[in-house]
Amino acid sequence: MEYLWVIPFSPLIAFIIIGLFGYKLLREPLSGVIAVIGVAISAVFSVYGFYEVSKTGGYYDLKLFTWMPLGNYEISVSILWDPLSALMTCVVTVVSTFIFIFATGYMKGDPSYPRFFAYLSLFVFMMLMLTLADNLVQLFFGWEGVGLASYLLIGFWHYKKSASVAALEAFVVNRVGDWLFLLGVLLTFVTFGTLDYLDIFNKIPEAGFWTMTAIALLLFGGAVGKSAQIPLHIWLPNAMEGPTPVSALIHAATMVAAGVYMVARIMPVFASSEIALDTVLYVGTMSAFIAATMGLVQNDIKRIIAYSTLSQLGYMFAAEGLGLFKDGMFHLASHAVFKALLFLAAGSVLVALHHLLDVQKMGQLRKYMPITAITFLIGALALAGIPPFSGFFSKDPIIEAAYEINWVIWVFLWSGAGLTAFYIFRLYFLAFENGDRLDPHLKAHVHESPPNMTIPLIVLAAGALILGFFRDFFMNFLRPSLDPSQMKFLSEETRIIVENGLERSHHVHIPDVLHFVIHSLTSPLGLLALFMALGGIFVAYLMYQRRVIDPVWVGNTFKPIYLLFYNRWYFDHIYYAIFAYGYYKLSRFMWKAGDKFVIDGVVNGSGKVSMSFGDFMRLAQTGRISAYLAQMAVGILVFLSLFLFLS
Amino acid sequence: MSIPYEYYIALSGLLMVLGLIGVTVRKNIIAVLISTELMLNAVNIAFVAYDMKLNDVAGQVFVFFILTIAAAEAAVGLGLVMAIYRLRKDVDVEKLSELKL
Amino acid sequence: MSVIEQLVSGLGLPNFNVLIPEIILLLTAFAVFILEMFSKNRRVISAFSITGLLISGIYILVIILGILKLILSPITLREASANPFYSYILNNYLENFVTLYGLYVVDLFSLVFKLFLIIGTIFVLIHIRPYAEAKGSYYGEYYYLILFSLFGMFIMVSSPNLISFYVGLELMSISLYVLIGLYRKDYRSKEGAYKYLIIGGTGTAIVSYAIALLYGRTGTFDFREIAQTLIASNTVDVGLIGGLILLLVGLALKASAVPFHQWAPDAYEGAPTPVTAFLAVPSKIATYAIILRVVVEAFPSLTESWGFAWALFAAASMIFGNLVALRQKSVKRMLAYSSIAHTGYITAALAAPTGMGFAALAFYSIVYLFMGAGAFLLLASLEKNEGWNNTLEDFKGLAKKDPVSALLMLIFMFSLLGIPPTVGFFGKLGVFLALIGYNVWWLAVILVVTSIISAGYYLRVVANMYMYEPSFKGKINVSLVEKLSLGVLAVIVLILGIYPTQIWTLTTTISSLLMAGVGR
Repeated sequence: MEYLWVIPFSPLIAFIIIGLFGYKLLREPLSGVIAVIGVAISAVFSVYGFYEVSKTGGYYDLKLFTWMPLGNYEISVSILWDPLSALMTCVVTVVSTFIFIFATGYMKGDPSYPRFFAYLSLFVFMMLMLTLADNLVQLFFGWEGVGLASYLLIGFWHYKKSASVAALEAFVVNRVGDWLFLLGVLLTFVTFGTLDYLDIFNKIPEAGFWTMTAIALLLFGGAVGKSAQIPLHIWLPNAMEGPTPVSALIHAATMVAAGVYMVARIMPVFASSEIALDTVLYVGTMSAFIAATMGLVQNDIKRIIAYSTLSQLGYMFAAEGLGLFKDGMFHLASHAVFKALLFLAAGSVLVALHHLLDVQKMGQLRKYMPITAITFLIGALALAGIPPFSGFFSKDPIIEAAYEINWVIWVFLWSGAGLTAFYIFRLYFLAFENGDRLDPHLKAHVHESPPNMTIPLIVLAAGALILGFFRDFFMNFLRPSLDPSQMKFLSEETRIIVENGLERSHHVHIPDVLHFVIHSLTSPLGLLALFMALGGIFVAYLMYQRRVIDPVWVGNTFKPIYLLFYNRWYFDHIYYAIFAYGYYKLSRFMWKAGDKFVIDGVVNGSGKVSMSFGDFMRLAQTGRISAYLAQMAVGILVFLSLFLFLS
Repeated sequence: MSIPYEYYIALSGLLMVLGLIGVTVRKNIIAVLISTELMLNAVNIAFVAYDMKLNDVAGQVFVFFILTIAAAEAAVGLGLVMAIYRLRKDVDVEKLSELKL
Repeated sequence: MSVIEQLVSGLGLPNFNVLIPEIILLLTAFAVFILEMFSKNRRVISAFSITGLLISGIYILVIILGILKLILSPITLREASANPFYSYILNNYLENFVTLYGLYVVDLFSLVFKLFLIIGTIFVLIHIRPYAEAKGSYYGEYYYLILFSLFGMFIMVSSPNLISFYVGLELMSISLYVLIGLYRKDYRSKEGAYKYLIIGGTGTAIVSYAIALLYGRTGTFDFREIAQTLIASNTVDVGLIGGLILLLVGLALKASAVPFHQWAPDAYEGAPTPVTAFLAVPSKIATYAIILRVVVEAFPSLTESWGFAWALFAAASMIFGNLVALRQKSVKRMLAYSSIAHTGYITAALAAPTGMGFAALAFYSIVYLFMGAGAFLLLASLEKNEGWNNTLEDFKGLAKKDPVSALLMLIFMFSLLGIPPTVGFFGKLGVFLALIGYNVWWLAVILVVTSIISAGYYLRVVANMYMYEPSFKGKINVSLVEKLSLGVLAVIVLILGIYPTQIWTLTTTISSLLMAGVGR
C-alpha cells in the first residue's frame, strides 16, 4: 500500500508548480490543467486504494515520516487507510476532480486564474492530510490548513468588501471552534500520552467517564465550528461570497463535512460517553430543523443551497448521535455528490446570468439551459429524498431510525425533510420554470454552458441517480471501521465500552435496498416520510409554479414566523449585539476603569507595571564604563560568595 | 631557599584586584587600558607560580599566549583611543557615555 | 632527518585532513587581505570571500552528511571501508579527529556549529557592502576581519582544551573590537568599540585567571582530563570554586548574560548594523557552543551547580532583557536587549542538564541564527535609506511604503517572539519541555511570562508597520539582492517552523554524541 503517499502529495506538487510558475509560465488554461491532473492522479490512486481495502476490509497504518519527537511519543505524518478514510478520501478526490474541471470553465478570463487553482490545490492537499491522518496533530494541521484555504478562497475576490468581511467572519468563527478542538487535543495528550487514534482507542478503558466526556465535547466543539452547526453556523451562508466552485467544494461537499468525518473517525471516543452522543444528536437535530426554516424564505440562490447544507450536515450529526455512524457517513458521501451538483448547476446559472443571485428575478431558465435545469432537478430530487435518487437512500433511513430511538427527534427531522423539499423546489420553480421575469438584456445572452461545465454536471447527476442503490455495499464496506464487532484495532475492553455506548441503536434494523424501497412504499412510517417530501414539493408547486397560493399572502398572514425565518432566527443580530456592541461597551468600560491599562497591555505592549520596571532597570545602563565594571564586580562577588557559601 | 608558590598566587590575586579597581576608578582612557593589561600580567604571574608548583611547562607556554594576546589587545585599544581622541579631543572616560539607557 | 622531521617524529604528524575547511577559510582570509591591497574592485573582494566560505561550508556539509549516514544507518565497518568516501570519513572524522596534538577536535558537534556559523557569516557578508557604501564607510578590512573572527569561532567550537579555547576566544573578540569601531567618522561606533574592548578585556583577564586557577588545581588544560581529575579527587576547595565561577563569569560576559551584559547594548548600537548582526548572531552562537562543550566535557560532575548558576543568569537575562527592551525607542537597541533576552532563553536550557536540555540549547542557538540575523540585517538594509534612524517612529506605515520589507520584518518579529508557524516557537518549546522534564518549573514559568511580556515590543513594531500611516518621509529602497537574501532567511524560518524535524534530530544527535564522548 506504499503508493498511498501519492494521494496527498500529488495536489501539493500541483500547488507548488502553480504557485511558482502560475503567472509567468502557465497562465490561464495550463495552470487549471495542472491542478486537474494533480487531483485526478490522487483520485485514481484513492479509488484503487478503495478497491483494495474493500477486498480485505483491513487497515493500513503507514508512517511516512516523523515530524516531531515529543518525549516518548513521536508525532508523525502518516496515512491511516481503512474503509472510513478510504471512503472520505474518495469522496474528496473524486468530487474535487469534477469541480476542478467545472472551475476551468467557471473561472475563465479571471485575472487571478492561476492563484485560484493554486489555492484549490492547496485546499485539497490540506483536506487529504486531514482525512488520512492517523493522529490528532496531523488532523489538526489539516483542520487549520483547510481553514486557511477556505479563508483565502472566500476572500478570493478581495476587492469586494463583502467578500473580505465574510472571509474574516469565517476565520474568526472557526477560531472559536478550533480553540475548543485544541484544548481537546491537549487534554487527550495529557490523559493518554499519545495522539494516535488507535492507541487512544485502546487506552479508553483507562480514562474516566468525565474525562472522556470532556475530550469528546471539546473535540466536538471544533466540529461544530468547522461544520457550521448551531450556534457557530453564521459564517457559512456568508461564505457564499467566494466563487461558486469553492462553495461547491469547500462549503458543501468536503471541508464542512470534516466535522462529521472527525466524529466518525474517533467514534470510540464519542461512543464511550452518553452525554457526548446526546450533545451531537441535539446539536445536529436543531441545526437540521432551524437551518431548513431559514432556507425557506431566502432569495439568494447560493444562500438557499448553503442553508440546505447546514441542514443536511445536521442530519449527519443527528445520525451519529443516534449511533448510526455508518448511515451518517453514507449520507455524507451521497450529500457530497448531490450538493456539489446543485452548487455547480447554480454556478452554471450564475455564469449565464452574469452573477445575478436573486431567484425572484429568474425564471424559465429551463428553455435556455436544459442540461443545467435537468441536472439541477435531479439534485433537487435527491436532496428532497424522492426515490430512487440517492438522498432517499441516505436520508430516509436516518429519519426512520430516529422514530425507533427517540420520537421527539423524529418529529424535527421528519418535518425538516418536508421543509427541505419545499425550499429546494421553490428554488427550482422560481429559477427554471414559472413566469418570465428575466431582464430582457440578460435574456438575450442566456445560453447553455460549455462542455467543461456541463460534463461534470452530467457525471455528478448520474452519481446522484445511482449512488443510492449501492447503499448495502457501502454499509458493509464501512463495517470494519465503524461496527465495533468488526473493528480489528479495538481491544476487547474498548469494544465492550463502545458496544455499550452504541446500545441506543441496537434495536434499529434497516433492511437492504430492495426491501427498504418496498418498506417505504408500504409501511405507514415510510409513507409518512415520503408524503412529507412529496407534500413539500407539491406546496412549492402550488405556490411558485401554479401561483394558486400567493406567497406574499402567506408571508403576511404568518408575519411573525416569516420575520423570524427571514431574519435567520436573529442569530446574527444577537451575535452582533453581543460581540460587536458588547465588545464596544466593554472596552469603553475598560478604558475608563483601567485607565488605559488594557489598551496599554493588549494593544501597545505590556502593562504599565512591566514598563516602569523596565524604566527602573534601564537606569543601570548609565553609559559609563566605570559603572558597568562596578556592576560586573558586584556580580562576580555575589556569585563567588553565593557558591562558596553553598558548597 | 625559595619562596613558596602561595605567595606568588597572593601577589597575582592582589594585582588582579588592583587592576579591576583601576579599570573602575581611573578617569583617563589610556589608564583604563593599562589597568586591563595589569590584570593580564597578574594572570601571568599566577601561571608561572602554578607551573613552579606543578613542575610543568604548559603553564609557561600559556603565558606566551597571554603575552601575544595582550599585545594585540593593547594595539587595538590604543588605536581606538587615538580615534576617540581625534573625534572628541578628550580622554576622560566619564564623557564616553553617549550610548546609554 | 631534518629538524622538523625530528620534531614531529616523537609526536607523529597531525591529521591535516580534518582541517581542510579551516585551511580554506584561512587561505581565503589571507587572499582577501592581499587582494584588498591591490584591487579596488569591491565586488570581487566580496564575491571572493563569499566563495571561499561557500566552498568551506559545502565541504563541511558533505562531511556532516557522510558522518550522519555512517552513524545513523546500519552500514557495517567493512562496507564503509570498501567505499572510498566512507572510509575517508571513518579514518578522519570518526577515528583521528583529535588533531594538533590534542589541541583541536573535529567532531560532529563542532562541524554542525561551523556549518551554521558559515551560513550566518555568508549572509552578513552579502549585506555589508551595500550598507557600507550607502553609509560612505567602506573598508576592505571588514571582509578579512570577519573571516578572521570566524576563524576564531571555529577554533572555539573545536577546542577540547582551555588553551585553544582561549586563543579562539581572543581571535574572535579582538577582530570584533576592530569591526565595531570600523565606522568612518562616527564617534558612537568608537565608543561602543572601546567599551566592548575594556569590558571584554576585563573578561579576558577573568577567564585567563580562571584558567590559571583551574590549571593550578588540576595541572592540565584538557577538558576531559580536568573532568577526570575532578572526579578522582572529589574535593572542593576555594581555588576550584573560584576558578569555576570566574570561568562562568567570563563565558557569561561573552554571551552577554545579565549581570555581565552591559557592553552589549552599547556595542550593538554603535557598530555598523551588519557587524551588529555578526556580533549578535554568529559570535553568540559560538559562545553558546563552547559553553555547552565546557559543561559536558570539563565539568560533568558539577552539572547541577553549573546548571543552577546558568539558571540564575538565564532568569536575570530574560527578565532584564525583556523589560528593558520594552522601553526602547530605537529598534536596533531594542533588538540588542532582545538578544540579551535570547541569551536567557537559550542558556535556560542548561538548567536541565539532560540530553533534552542540551539538544534544546543547540537547537535554539542554531535557529536563532536565522531569525536574529534576519532581523538585524533587515535593519541594515532599511538604514541605508537617507534619514532612517531605526526608531519605532520610522517603522510606522512601513507596510504601505514597502510591503515586502514589512512582511519580512513581521516574520522575523513573530519568530523572535515565538509564534507558530515560525521556528522561534519550536526553539522555546524545546527549552520549555526540557525544563519541565527536569522539574525546573520556576524557570519554565519565567520563560513563558517573559515571552508574553516580550510580545509588547515585538508586536509594537508589527503594529507600527501595519496600523499607521507612513511617518517616514524619505524613500524606502531595499535592493533586490538584499530582499532575496532576507527572503531566504524568512523562508528558512517558516520552513523550519513547519518542519523542524531535521534540525531537531541533528541537535539531538550531536548532544547525545557529545555526552557519550564518542571517540574521545
